[in-house]
Amino acid sequence: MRPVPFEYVAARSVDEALDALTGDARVLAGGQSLLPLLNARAVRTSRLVDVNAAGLGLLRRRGGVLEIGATVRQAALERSALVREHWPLLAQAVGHVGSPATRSRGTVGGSVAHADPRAQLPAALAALDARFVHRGPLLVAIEVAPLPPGARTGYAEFSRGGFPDAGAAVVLAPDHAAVARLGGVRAPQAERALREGASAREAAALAAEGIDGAHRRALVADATRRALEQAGCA
Amino acid sequence: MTAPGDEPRGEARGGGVARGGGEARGGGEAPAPVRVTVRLNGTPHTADVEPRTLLVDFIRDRGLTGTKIGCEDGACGACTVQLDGEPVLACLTLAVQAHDADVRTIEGLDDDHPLKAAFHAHDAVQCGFCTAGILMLLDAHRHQDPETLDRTLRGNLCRCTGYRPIIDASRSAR
Repeated sequence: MRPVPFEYVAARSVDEALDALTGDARVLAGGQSLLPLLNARAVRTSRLVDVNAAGLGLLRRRGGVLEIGATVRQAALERSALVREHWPLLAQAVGHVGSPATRSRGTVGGSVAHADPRAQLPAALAALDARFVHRGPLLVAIEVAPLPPGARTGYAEFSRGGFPDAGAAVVLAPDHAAVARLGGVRAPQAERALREGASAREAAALAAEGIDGAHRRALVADATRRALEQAGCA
Repeated sequence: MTAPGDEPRGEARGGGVARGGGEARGGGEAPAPVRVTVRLNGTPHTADVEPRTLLVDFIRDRGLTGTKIGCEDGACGACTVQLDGEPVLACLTLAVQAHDADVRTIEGLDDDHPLKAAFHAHDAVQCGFCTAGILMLLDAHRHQDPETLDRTLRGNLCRCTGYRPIIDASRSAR
């Protein structure tokens, strides 16, 4: 199928985008989640506001903080030496997102704003305590503070192709533990246990506690254990 | 759609595509077309298109039918082309988003391209529906670690070969 007809606005600035975002208008960033929905007519809109030329495409470090403009491509995150060196968790997670062709267009901000509960990047960003910067209804940037000294990170998932069934992102450092699973949900009990010296297996079981269904619980526990082991936890 | 020769009613700003379909609201009238120029394999093609026109339809409507339409939701990769050198899914890209950009399709790949010869040598083509997309993807990822090829190919389905010949051909062409 093809989308229902819509008006197309290419915003040249955040102000122009905000002006155009009225009624049922939708933001178009990479379009890798929105276009399938429009093609299937699961989403209908009378106006698409394209923010790709709105000046939100910068990926840089400022004052030690990583700034990811809302339209930075997933492929740019994947190729960034800065990210690989200082925020390796993002590099680990983004390689699992979609496919090379969807990562060419798909944006980091779009993954966050679309907020599919199975998406990898929101989980990684949750483990990194990222800040999401808005102007009105528009996500304009994501900010990630430097990792604690000596930090190691891990991302693991269980996938049958397409979106994963379970996944976990972790940051471990002396006196610091962050564990997030898909959906961007942190696991405070597991984090506390890790700070007190729990093993990967023990912490993974805590992280999966409360999840409905033995099968799903096992998948989350397994992904969490593998992520923790990647990060150097025994 | 307007008749050939009609000017698009979209308001153009800064020489680019800025706005189309402004009069579509409420009345059930079709959105105004937008004038788009896409360089297809080096040749500029200009047309007035509805904003909802997918890049894959723009390409195929120009007679370049090597690019295939499969799932229209990003699962199959049959529509993979290169947009400014990057592999993209032409079903998940609007034609207006390719305005003033370079798009390369399977018709733009040289006959003596090493990947083509390798695909022949390894019997990596059967029905051929996936082939154009896979070649455009692999051509854009030529310098990639051959050990990760199966992950690179994750978004391109082939229901004939079982992938082994495709992976072997790709490795041999490197």
